[in-house]
Amino acid sequence: MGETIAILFIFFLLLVFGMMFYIKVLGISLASQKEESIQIRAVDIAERASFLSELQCSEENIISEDCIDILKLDAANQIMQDNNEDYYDMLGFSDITVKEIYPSSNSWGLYNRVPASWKDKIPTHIPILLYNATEQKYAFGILTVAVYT
Amino acid sequence: MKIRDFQAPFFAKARNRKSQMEIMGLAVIVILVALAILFTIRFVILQEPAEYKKGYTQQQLAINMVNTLLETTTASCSDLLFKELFKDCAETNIIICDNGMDSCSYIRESIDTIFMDTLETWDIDYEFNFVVGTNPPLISKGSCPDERIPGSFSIPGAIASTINLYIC
Repeated sequence: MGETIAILFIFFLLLVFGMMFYIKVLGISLASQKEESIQIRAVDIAERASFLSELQCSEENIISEDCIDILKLDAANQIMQDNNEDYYDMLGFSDITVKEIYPSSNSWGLYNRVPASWKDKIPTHIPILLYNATEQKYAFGILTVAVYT
Repeated sequence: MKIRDFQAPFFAKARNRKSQMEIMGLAVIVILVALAILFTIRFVILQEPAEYKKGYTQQQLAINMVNTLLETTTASCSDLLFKELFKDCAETNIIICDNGMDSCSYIRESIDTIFMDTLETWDIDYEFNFVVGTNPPLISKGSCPDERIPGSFSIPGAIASTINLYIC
C-alpha cells in the first residue's frame, strides 16, 4: 500500500512538473512566433513605404528605384498627413520620415499614426536618393520606417 | 520448520528482485523524462529566433548605401557624381574640387560625414573599402571581424576598381 502511494506520488509529481514545463515552453514558442510576425510586418511596411508611387522619381513614366523626388516629397508631406486614415490600411501604425544626410540636412515627416498603447518602435533605415528636379542634383537621404509594436 | 527455513530466503530473494525491478522501472521513466526535457530545451528553448528584419535590413543597407552613394551629386566638386570621383580617384586623381581637395581626399571627407550620420549613429558596425586592381585598399574605413554581409559595386574604367561595404 505504502509503495503504491509512493509511486503514485512520484507519478503525479512528474506529471505536474511536465505540465508546468510544457506551459513554459508553449509560452516561449508563442512569444517567438509573435516576434517573428512583428518583424515580418515591419519589413512589409518598410517595403511598401519605399515603393510609394507618390514619392518615387520618374521620367517619362519610367520609375527610378530607390529614389524620391523632393518636389513630390514636399507635396506628399501635407497630403499624407491630411489623409492619414486612407494610408492606414497600407502603412498601419508606423512613423515614416525622410532625412537628407548629404550635402545638407533636411527632414520631412510623412506619416505618423500612433496606437493607443505601444511598447516599442522598430526602425528600418533605407538609404535613398533625393532628387532635386529644379537643380537636377541628387542628395543622399535616409527613409526611416519605424513600426509601433 | 525445515520447510520454513528452506522457503524464507527464497521469498526474501523474490521480494528483493521485485523491488529492484520497480526501481529500474522508475529509473527508466526518469531517464525518458530527462531525455524529453533535454530534447525540448535543445529544439524549442535554445532555438535561435528567425531574424527576418535583421537579415533584410543588413542586406538592403549594404547594397543601397553603395548604390545611393555612387549616384549622389557632390556638394562642391563641379556637380560631379561620386561615381565619377571614384573613377578619377582610381585612375588619375587629377580632379581638384572647389575646396582645393583632390578626388580621393574629397571622397574620404564626404564618406566620413555620411557614415557618421548613418551607420555610426545607428550603432551598426561596418567595413568600407575602395580597392583598385590588386593593390591594398585606397580608401578604408571600419573593420568587420568575420561574419559580414557584403554590398559590392564595380566601377567601370581603364583600371578595375571595386567599392565594398560590409555590414558586420
